[in-house]
Amino acid sequence: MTPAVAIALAYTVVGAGILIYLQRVRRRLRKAEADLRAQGEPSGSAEALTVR
Amino acid sequence: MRSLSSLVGGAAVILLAAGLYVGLVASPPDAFQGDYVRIMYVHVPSAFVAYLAVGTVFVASILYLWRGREVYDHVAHSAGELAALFTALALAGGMIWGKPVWGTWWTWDARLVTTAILFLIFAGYLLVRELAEDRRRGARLAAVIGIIGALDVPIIHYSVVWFRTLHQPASIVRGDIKMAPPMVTALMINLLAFALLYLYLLLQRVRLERLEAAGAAAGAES
Amino acid sequence: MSAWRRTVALARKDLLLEWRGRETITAMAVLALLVVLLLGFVLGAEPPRAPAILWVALALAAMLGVARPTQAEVEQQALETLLLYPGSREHLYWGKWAALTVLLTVLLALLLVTLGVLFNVDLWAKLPALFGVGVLGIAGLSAVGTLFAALVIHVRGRELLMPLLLLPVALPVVLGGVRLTEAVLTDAPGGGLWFGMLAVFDILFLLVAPILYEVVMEEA
Repeated sequence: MTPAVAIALAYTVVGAGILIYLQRVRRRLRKAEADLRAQGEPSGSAEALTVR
Repeated sequence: MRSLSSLVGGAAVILLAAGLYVGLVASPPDAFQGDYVRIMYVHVPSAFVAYLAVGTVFVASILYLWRGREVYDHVAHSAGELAALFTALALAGGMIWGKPVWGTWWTWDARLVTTAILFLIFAGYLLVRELAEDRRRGARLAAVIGIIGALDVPIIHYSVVWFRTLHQPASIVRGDIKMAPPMVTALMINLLAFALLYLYLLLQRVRLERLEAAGAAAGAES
Repeated sequence: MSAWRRTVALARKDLLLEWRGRETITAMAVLALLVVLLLGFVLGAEPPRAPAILWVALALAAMLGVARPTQAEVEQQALETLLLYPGSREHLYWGKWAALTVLLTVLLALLLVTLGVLFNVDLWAKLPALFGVGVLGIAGLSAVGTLFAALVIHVRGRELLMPLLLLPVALPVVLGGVRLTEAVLTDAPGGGLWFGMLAVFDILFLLVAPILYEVVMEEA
């Protein structure tokens, strides 16, 4: 393995791992927010609900 | 809460970009490892964050069992997930570094073995949460495993170190790498960047946990 | 009843139950024997290999039996009754711990004899020291094992999870047991360090596990 290949591989693996995880958390966040809004009181935002 | 998280996220992105530049471009190659040393700038911070996450699980689990407040459990669960993620990333980075430098993907290096065992412990930690009878029970059981696992880390580490070194000389010795100042700087920037990234991920994940818990509670009511 | 007598009564009850059926010890002994035969045949039965094979066989076979004393209560719906008795649950922990330790010590004795015969290890003169090393490791193994046995009751796929949770945590016991057994067999120095490590493991988890046991046993 040349240095360039090894470095690219290492940075890609670590970067992709973090990004994919973040993406997953983001998607679930959006879904949870939408769910809360759908079932929440007319005026209640997601933030107001979580304070409870 | 959200502005804090954006602030941390922004700072993390800036520092990560700086770390990337310093690590890949500005810093010199190492005298022995050559350019492979650049892998260290993501590998070491990953391992550092993994241990940071294990520490967070430990403290948050104790606080949760002691005080019983939901927040602590949210933090523990989030940090547990990050511990599993970053041990895996640290392992991957270490193996990619080891292949060209040591000539093998895997050696029975104490740090690699300890990290692998840590990954398995936290895989079990997440599995117990997943398979528990209900959310609250899962939180309490996971806290128990988090505490036991974290307490075990130093014992595992030293037992693995002594097992290899005292009996037979290790076939491959990671020599004491004297790091030149520019390399230390590169490593420091990346460590800080990863620490901020960890904080950002933790904040996001805790928020998700809170929203999902609120959603479950609201769903149960209606 | 005093705490001590409660603990002894619980352990006696478990061991009596096991004595009547002898299911757990039979299963563990057969698995341990299989591991010894397999590893001995595949790796070669040179005496220096014996300590490693002893501890691997012991650890793997222990995974079968660790959950038994607790699981038996659940199957007969006796755990609820036990939990209803007033007083601290710590005695429940110590009773289960003692029963498990005795059970694993019997397994250890069987394994030592087996290895002595099959691996041609001259262990008879050192039997007390080897036995002591074994019990030192077993005490720590059951300390965590008893806690995890109570923990997996409330998790789907109980028995499947046990090795997954316990083996990584118990790794120092296996490593320390192997090296300390080697030190005893070859009269080599360096055993003190491993003795210390095993002692720290035992003391740490025997202090922490009973506290966490209360958390696990508490009705949610």
